[in-house]
Amino acid sequence: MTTITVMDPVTRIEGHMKIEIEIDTNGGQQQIVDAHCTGTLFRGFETLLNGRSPLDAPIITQRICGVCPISHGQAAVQALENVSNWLPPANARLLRNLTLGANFLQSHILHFYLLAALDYVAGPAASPWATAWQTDMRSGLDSVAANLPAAIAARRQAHEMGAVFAGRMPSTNTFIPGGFTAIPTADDIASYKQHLAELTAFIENIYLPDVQQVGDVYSDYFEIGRGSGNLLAYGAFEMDDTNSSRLFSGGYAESGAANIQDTLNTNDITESVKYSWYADATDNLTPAAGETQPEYPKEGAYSWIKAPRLKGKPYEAGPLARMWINGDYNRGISVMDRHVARALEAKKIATAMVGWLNELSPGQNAFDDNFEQFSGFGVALSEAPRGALGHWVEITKGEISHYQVITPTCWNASPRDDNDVGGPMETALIGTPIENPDEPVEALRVIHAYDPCLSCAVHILRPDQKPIVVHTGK
Amino acid sequence: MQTLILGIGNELLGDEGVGVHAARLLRMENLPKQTKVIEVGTAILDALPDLEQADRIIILDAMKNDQLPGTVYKIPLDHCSGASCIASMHGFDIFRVMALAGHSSPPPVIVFGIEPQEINWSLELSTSATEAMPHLLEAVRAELRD
Repeated sequence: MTTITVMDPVTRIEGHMKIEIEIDTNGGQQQIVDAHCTGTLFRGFETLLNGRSPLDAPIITQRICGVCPISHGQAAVQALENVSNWLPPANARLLRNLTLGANFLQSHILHFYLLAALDYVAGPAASPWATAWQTDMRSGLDSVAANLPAAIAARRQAHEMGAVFAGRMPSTNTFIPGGFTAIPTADDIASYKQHLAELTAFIENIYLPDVQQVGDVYSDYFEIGRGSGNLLAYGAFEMDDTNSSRLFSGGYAESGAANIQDTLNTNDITESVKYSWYADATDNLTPAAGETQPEYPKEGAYSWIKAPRLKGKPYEAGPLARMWINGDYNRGISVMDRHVARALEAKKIATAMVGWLNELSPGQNAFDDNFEQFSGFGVALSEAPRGALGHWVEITKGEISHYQVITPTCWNASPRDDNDVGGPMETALIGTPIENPDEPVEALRVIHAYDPCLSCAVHILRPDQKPIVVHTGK
Repeated sequence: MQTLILGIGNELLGDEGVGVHAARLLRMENLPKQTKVIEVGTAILDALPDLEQADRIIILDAMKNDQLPGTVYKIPLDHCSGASCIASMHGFDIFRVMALAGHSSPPPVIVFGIEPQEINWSLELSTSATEAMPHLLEAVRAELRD
């Protein structure tokens, strides 16, 4: 008998997402036989940017997400600078890398300990750790559970570190086309270094061993949730001022192949809207020509996420894709591989950050007064903690006339495309064994491994006992 | 003794932002020493460092108690109800943030609320909330004198 379980909203992710899974017994094993991922929120940021000053782009696009705003800030300034065919001075490049790096570290720590870990270990019996479902919680991970509060302190440390140069976290005002608005002082550099040393110790001594331990206890998850098997990275973290190398190179690998294609043509990217709540007239456009025309309701559609495809195929974005494309990780593609690759990536970035700190020139300007914002077309391919992030911009007579963003979760949580092929997460869910269809924690493990972000709320207090009336209204 | 006053709510939604409007007015007043007023808005988690240091907390917010719009209430926070489940980090409310603050014994938290008239797109308060505002501010001043 087929059971359909709907999780709406999926908890412990960023933003609002619905997952519908069909569970049936296949070959004597109760498992997921079909899955639909739904982004339940229309954002419309791209429409919001039309007609605005280019300077608004890094500020407004950072509001797309409170977890990875810096990635949007980075992509936005790079897209604008790309219009002017211009590269930032060394200090700006380094300060942007360091701020983006701090954002990656906080996001990875947040993801593992606050969003994903509770699928595997029972947290302390107190808010916010108590979960509603306790299915298939295996023993032997008490030490991981004990580290949950320490992870909050580490994440706070990462935010404080990011704010050393960026002034504030999560959303900073320092990313502007032409450079970075802060000048690094020797004191700032020393303070940043201290934070980074403590965070690196956390990553090496706590985060990495904890992920390994979860992987040991749940080793079956190295064989679950392969997904599309296709991996895509745009690359990020510029290593020199001529933009000739980056810490993570871009590229793609079809079916987990070792044969990695490092030349990415963005004209090969199209977005299908057959199953998305957008006008069919906007189907299969490249992002440079992409349009955001909502149409709700729409026959057959089930998501606010479009379905981006590279050469017509779905691709997975994220730490595993980056580490794979760059030869840092190749064990396999699965739920647990995503966690391991993410933790190893945190270490790789933290190590690179020490180098960027040492390259900084204290007291030297990070903004170039000669920067001039041209009109025309620009593109930035960068990375967010959860994967490949692209911004496409067109400036006409000093105003933004066109803006398109493709986020990593569009790739990962995409719905079916024109060929009825599901997105990576939908595909990864199919075949996952389920013990209790009412509480399919196994499906949550598959979903959370992708670190989806579908990014708000009104909170009104409601008394449940009688308040004192200080003044009566009329 | 450190007293912390938090103005909570979404000021884009009319009376839902009454706490923020009240905090803004209180900031212009000559309040007792060691009283800190913050316009928290909806970023409640951002107030965590201050919450950790406060010995007494006063919250200003809209409060639905189904009496006449503009009615001003006073109630301890632990007599208010929070959502039993949150969908995302965006659902963090004052109850969860208080739990995170790590006080060995939580400080007293008093809520002053105004019954909203209109919760809809607006940067302005309704006439009921505007008329109630002086009463709310006077109640807070009286609380501070205690």
